[in-house]
Amino acid sequence: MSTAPAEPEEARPQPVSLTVNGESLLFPDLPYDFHERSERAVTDPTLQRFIDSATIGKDRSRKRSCGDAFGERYDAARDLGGRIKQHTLDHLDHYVARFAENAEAAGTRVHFARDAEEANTICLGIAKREGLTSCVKSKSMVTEETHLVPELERAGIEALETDLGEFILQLDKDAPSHIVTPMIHKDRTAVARAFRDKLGARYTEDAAELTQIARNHLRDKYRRADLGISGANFLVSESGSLVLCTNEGNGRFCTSAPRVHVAMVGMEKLVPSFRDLSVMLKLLARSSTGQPLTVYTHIATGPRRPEEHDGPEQMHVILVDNGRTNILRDEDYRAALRCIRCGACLNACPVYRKVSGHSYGAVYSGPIGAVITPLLKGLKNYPDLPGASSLCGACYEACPVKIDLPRMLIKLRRDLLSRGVNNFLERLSYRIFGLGLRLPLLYRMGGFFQRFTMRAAAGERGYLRRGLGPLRPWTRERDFPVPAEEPFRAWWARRSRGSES
Amino acid sequence: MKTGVSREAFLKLIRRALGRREGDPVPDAPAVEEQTVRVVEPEADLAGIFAERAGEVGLDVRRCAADEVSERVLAFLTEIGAKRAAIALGAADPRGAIAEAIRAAGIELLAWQHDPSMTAGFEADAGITRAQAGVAETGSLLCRAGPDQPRGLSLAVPNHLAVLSEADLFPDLLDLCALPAPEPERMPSSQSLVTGPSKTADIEGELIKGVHGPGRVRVILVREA
Repeated sequence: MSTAPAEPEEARPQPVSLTVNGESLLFPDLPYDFHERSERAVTDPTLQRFIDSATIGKDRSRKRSCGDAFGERYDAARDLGGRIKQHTLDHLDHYVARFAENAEAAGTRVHFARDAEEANTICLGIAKREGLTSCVKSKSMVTEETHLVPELERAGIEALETDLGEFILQLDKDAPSHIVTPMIHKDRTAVARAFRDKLGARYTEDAAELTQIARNHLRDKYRRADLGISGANFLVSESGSLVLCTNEGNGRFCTSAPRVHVAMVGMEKLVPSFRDLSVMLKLLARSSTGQPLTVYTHIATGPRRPEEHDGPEQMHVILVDNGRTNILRDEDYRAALRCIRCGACLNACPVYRKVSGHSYGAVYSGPIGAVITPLLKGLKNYPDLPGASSLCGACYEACPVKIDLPRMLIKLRRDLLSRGVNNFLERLSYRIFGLGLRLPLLYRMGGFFQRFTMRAAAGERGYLRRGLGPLRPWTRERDFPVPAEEPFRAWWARRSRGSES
Repeated sequence: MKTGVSREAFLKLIRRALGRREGDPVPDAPAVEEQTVRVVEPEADLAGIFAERAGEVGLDVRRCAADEVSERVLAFLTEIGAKRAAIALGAADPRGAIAEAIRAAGIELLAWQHDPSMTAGFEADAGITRAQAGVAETGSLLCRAGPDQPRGLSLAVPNHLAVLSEADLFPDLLDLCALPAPEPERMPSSQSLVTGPSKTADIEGELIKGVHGPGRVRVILVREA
């Protein structure tokens, strides 16, 4: 029997079953080291070339598309999107209750899971009761959280990812590295190899041919599958509808062809009404890929009606908490649940562009991942993530629901300190630094000491080649510029005196 | 075995996290300000904007008069070399004249009625359906399941032809979503806004059409009489 929901500090690591090239490294036992992972990413030239061009391209598309649609009103539109989601979160009990009533009126069975294990058990229970053996699945971040696919396979159910990117990752036993384009870290040769080795296809590096191979393989699976699993981009409270946005059409396929449709959905996905939905849809695709709307925006309300010709016989929605109440509880962080998973903050983030998704060691990467992963799964399990940001604010500017990610990252860093999660030396150095900033004399002495030693060490060059202590990691990559001979305060005082005369 | 909790228990957890009590009042949701998010004004040239936007997302739009629909449909089927098609035009072909013309041209018509496995969609070279609405803002078609419309013919086929009347165009997503929603039990089980052919850019960002759904979508936009 289960007890009360786990507090974040008690959060247990998820089972790990993923390997890459035989190495089990993507979601390792916690705690893991962000620096070690990111170092691997920044020294991989293919990865660097890809992620950089892909993210910069998408960021540009977002700006163009949002600019074309909203112009000067872009900021106000983001603000409205944020207020709608915030209102829903602030009264989530009400909207969840209404959603459940309306969905059940439409013939959908609604289930409630407090954690990953409960969610998977419910899903497996449905499959067992209905005698389902073959599953097609569209992309769903929450099923990545719960590790549903390995669970299905263990129960003897063939479970196939159908999003092209996820399909290839599944063949390669790799993990997604971007919320929207999961295999952003792979190139066409990797796809060609996977299809040759795993599907027995002819080796080709032509993207159209590769897509055709996947299409033929998957069409056959759609026809035979009896279980379709999806997530949802939104749940509409007023009608009990589920909204699924895909470009490939696999979301619509997985929820139309098989006899039973099971959707596993994070409980924060609610919006009050269709009118609110229209605002969120206006923002989602434009922020994500620069499209006005995803190709298939599929609204599913209950199973097939008697007068209809196709569609599932049964529809189930599993609403999942899995740590979300931990975020809901804290008003400083509640807004993080506004996230509509557009991926705009990843594309805009200079850190994500360098270190790529796997460095974040969890399902959600980028700035939003750096915030919600520690909140969902425990700060002490992910102590590096709040530091995985330059706090430049690009994520906030890009966010269609105005989540103040930089502020939350700073708050998380404070929490690290106040909860004593980080190590003694780090705390001590902050303490000394804080003291120095408070006492002018100490500040001046510190400045003098720094200028004197660094200038002496740098000599004629004006740059430090090999730093000591905390400077060492920096100077391993690049030279460190030394402070100017004259401190800013002295220069300022001199300048002020000059202007008075 | 942990098999989930009741709705009440789940709601209680949420309420506790929010510091709310059962029956606490819920203020109105923020007003959706038209001036902030409307992209296309109601008095705009909807057919013109729709054709432009739909073209941008990769829908192949042809405008024609009501009495030309039949020949346009045949022209499309000939163009793609269709041998088998399935047609679900409902109100757009009330007397079945278009279906008759297709059959007369030697193209086999597959039955799609009461076909949960979507066999007709999987096996036809083309699906011909009526789009119940269009959205000018985004260039989208609305494909709604119902007594005269299956899902499969706009989904499982390699080529999809949709007949859309200019009278069914909405300026903005706001306008489509502002329609009074029927009771949940009376809503169609599936309503899809289709905005382009099935697409992916997963392999090195290269745009490929026809991943799972139709790679080619033609829209016949019928002028108002």
